[in-house]
Amino acid sequence: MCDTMCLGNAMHITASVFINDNEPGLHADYDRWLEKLAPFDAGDDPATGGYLHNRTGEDNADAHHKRQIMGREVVVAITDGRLHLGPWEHIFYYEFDGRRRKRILVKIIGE
Amino acid sequence: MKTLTRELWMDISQRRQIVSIHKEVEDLVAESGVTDGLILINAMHITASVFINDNEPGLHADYDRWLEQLAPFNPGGDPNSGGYLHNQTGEDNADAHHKRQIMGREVVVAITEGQLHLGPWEHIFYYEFDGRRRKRILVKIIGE
Repeated sequence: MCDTMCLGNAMHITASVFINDNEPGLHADYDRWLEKLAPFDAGDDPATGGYLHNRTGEDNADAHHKRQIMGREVVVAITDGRLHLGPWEHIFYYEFDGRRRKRILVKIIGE
Repeated sequence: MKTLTRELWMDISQRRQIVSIHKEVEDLVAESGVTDGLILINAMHITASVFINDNEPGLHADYDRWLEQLAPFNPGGDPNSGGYLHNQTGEDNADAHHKRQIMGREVVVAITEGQLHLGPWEHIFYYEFDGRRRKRILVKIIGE
């Protein structure tokens, strides 16, 4: 596996795998920003931002939206047997609806 | 299995700009000799995107205005009214980290019969959100 690609993806639709800076201030910024773009509690009225999805009995419509912004997967090149990343690239899992066991899939293909 | 790995240097003279890299990517597919495989094209920097969309300048200006609305460059210094904690580290590019998440880091495109296997209007772009310095794109091709 010295020259190939690695896929890392959330296997659940309310979580993300993404690459960005390993800096806690930025992570707090993301959290506040996502909450503004897709609030957890947007009320019950769809006319004023309430989620139709939550009428199914779920309370995680916001998590489905947040995950779309942050993405499902990353694909990273492997060169000479190592992740071929830029200087600040760091791989993260982002949970938007936790408190239960969930999975990430990692697939590496090649010879 | 054949592979080709190449880093493309970008040097954008302004903070934000969309640049077509479509021709360069096509040339690398031809150079690789891969007829059936996958190509990964990703920004190697966390304040830039590689994305696929329409090659239409109006849309590009729309993206720029939309991203600036969603993640403004300067929302002020107060985190209680939208200021970025990340910028308290001395950076001024927190907006760029946000904009890049919306536009994405990478694309993976199929190669079929030696060509990029794209839909009719798919076009490959680099989007710089914090330019005025040299940054890299990684291209990796694998296949037969």
